[in-house]
Amino acid sequence: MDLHKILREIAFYSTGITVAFVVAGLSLILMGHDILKGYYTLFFTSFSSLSGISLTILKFIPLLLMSLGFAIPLMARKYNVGVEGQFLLGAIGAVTVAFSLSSLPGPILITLILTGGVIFGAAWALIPALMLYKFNVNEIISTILLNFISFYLVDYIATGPWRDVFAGHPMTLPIPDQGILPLIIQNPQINMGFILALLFPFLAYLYVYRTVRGYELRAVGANPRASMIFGINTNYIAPLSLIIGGMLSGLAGSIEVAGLHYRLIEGMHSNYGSLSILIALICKGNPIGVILTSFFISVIEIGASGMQRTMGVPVELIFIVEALILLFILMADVVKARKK
Amino acid sequence: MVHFIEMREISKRFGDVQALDNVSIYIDKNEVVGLLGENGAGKTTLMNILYGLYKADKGEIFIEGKKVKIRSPKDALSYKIVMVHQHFKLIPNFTVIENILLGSVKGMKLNLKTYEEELSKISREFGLDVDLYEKVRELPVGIRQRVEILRALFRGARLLILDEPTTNLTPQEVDVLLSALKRMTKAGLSIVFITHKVKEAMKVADRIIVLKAGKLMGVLDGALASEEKLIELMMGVRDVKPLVLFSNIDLGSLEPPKEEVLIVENLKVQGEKGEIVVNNVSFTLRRGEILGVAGVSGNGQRELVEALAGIRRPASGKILINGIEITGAPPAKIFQMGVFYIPEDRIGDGLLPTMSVSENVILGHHNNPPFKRGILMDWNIVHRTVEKYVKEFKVKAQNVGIPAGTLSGGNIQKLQIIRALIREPKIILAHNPTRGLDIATVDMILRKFLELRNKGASILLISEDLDELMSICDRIMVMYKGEVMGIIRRENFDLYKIGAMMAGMRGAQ
Repeated sequence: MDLHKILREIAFYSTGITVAFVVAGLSLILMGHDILKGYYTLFFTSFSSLSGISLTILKFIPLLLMSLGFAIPLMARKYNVGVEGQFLLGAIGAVTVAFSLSSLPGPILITLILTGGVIFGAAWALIPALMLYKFNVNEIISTILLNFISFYLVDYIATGPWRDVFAGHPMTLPIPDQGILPLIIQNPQINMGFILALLFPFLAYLYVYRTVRGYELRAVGANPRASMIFGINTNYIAPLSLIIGGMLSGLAGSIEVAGLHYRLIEGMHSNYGSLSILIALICKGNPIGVILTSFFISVIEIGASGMQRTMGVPVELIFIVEALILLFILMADVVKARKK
Repeated sequence: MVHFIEMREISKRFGDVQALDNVSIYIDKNEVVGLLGENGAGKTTLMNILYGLYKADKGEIFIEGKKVKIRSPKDALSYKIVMVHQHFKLIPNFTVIENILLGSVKGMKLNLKTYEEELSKISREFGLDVDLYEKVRELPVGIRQRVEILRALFRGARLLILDEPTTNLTPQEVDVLLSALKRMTKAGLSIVFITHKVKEAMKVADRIIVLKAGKLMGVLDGALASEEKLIELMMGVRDVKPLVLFSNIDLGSLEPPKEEVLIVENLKVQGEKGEIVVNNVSFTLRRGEILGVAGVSGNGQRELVEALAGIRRPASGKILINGIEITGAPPAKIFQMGVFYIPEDRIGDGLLPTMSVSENVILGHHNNPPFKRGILMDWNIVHRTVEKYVKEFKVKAQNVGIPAGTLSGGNIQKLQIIRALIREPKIILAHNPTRGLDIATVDMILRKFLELRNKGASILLISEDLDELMSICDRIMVMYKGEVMGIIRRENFDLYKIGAMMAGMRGAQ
């Protein structure tokens, strides 16, 4: 009975994903490309070279952490659209610590850099959290607006006293060498941020499904009024979940600095924000589901840039596919609900 | 003999539920037919088919021997069939006469005076007194119902279908209604009286038709029917053990008075618009006592209990539990003192639809050992505890892990009751805990309440069902317009006295 249900669930979702890729294939044909080569490039660029693997993992780390940063508030029915801004503040926190304490030895400095990212990300989420707590300001609006402010903050710091005057793009100088995350594997190059990031889905799972606070978080998401009536202090639960989301996104920002760019660069958030929201929504906030989905999205993201390089297919095509996957999965849910 | 109305082999299905299964009934002239059954038995569905609101999957309807098709209430009206639903369909801002004439008279110009006499005559004839020029929104429920019935009579109804017409009526209003129905049948009308109350059906009906889960269980002559027989038919079991509702329980003496566990002094509570809806309410609840709260719904009961449960902040006054003042304390603190609340709105106020049965039952207790250990929940203990109760209460759920939102209303209510019992309650605040439940479950809940009472717990039972209150309460407090009209002790219980107080007459404290 249960197995049957699970199989049906898988069938529903894989149909959605397949349809999304069929649409992508049709677009490839319409644009006059070789469809088989397109699919091959899309799915295998990540695995066809060591650098492909390395690039995929580098994309996977922030996506994983930020989609958790969206998923945890989602449990309380809060939409932390601010993951992008919190990520950038995490990056700012990382360079601030790195430049201010540049004489510290490596292990201590790295710990402080990552902590700085977590604290800055949390502080950035504290603003919408307080606005929600005090004035019941909708978190979607406040976090989106804070994202814009964070872009300019990055700009300001990347053109401030730490700026790299020889670079043609706003960016800071590199952080001290001992602050860079050590590699755990040399070939392909994978840094310790990977291990760190992989810890968090399990920690999030424990928090959400095993702790008292996690139970309260889900209860508030399921029915805030009933939760209040039965003694849960609903006022602070949702704001707290935003702050946890900010911590995770901030950590992603500091890993990005200490593990990939070694500096703060304008535009370094890429499109992580929307992708991570998409990932969290596809797996409906399930912290374990986030691992696979983040990896899958990283693979097709790398594949998409491969397609652009080798075939001249615009990467935008893959945004459409990603959006379609989400759309079809949401539609599958509606169909399932109707069938009941 | 040709019957006035005959419904033959009616079947109707809603999704997975067979709401009606081959039901054949007839209605004769000059009779009151009681249509008796539990919630979900198919009573209202059957009548909605006759009234043209639903289309039967199968079956035929005959009126005076002729086969008819009733596709809409308009068709039904052309056959002089009128139904008065539980929720009245009146326009609050119109006067009584405007409401009655609306849709019944044709023409460009409406001259109220021409109809005034005819309407007064009808209302006099059947003893349905009502001021024709009063606005409907000013009228209490009982009078609004009279307006609905008058409208049906004015339209020349030959068959009047009443769906649970005594809901929220005081016993006095019920008497007026019943005698009006008798006069109507004498005047040639037929009446279908839908009810889930056995006593009521016996009192009013010439013939009683019993349905259970969409099946016709039997038809009894009203004069010959016995309570036992009717309950057996309704429940579909033989030799039903005596039910709390129908037995006269000896609760023992109230003397000497036991200690007061809940004291309420001069409590004032505001409603949504800032108006005072609980006005100067004072009472005490003693250890090992069931205190009933009677009253037509909407007279401040909800606000009172929400203030006691810590959900609504009182405007003034005091609430003490075990001598400790908790006025305005948050729900968590009140919960911690062993005061558990069973809200009236089981879905909106009590259900976590997407979460499991266990996670629902544990809500509010989740912060207490043994259900938590340190910062972690101990789901094993939670599941085991909940499973025990789920079995005892015969909750229909495959396991305690399925989402509670997939359960039926009755089973969801059982979860609310279990939630109040799971951790040694000292005080239970129960608001309409048995509404809409089947007889067996109601009996189980009332027994549980009595058992708790005898163990020394105290229960504040707010209910719209006077029979229920009178069967298990030590005392009954009556509320009207937010005020306490009086508190009556068990030895002085009197249906009509309580009824008069529900209508605003003060009784002895």
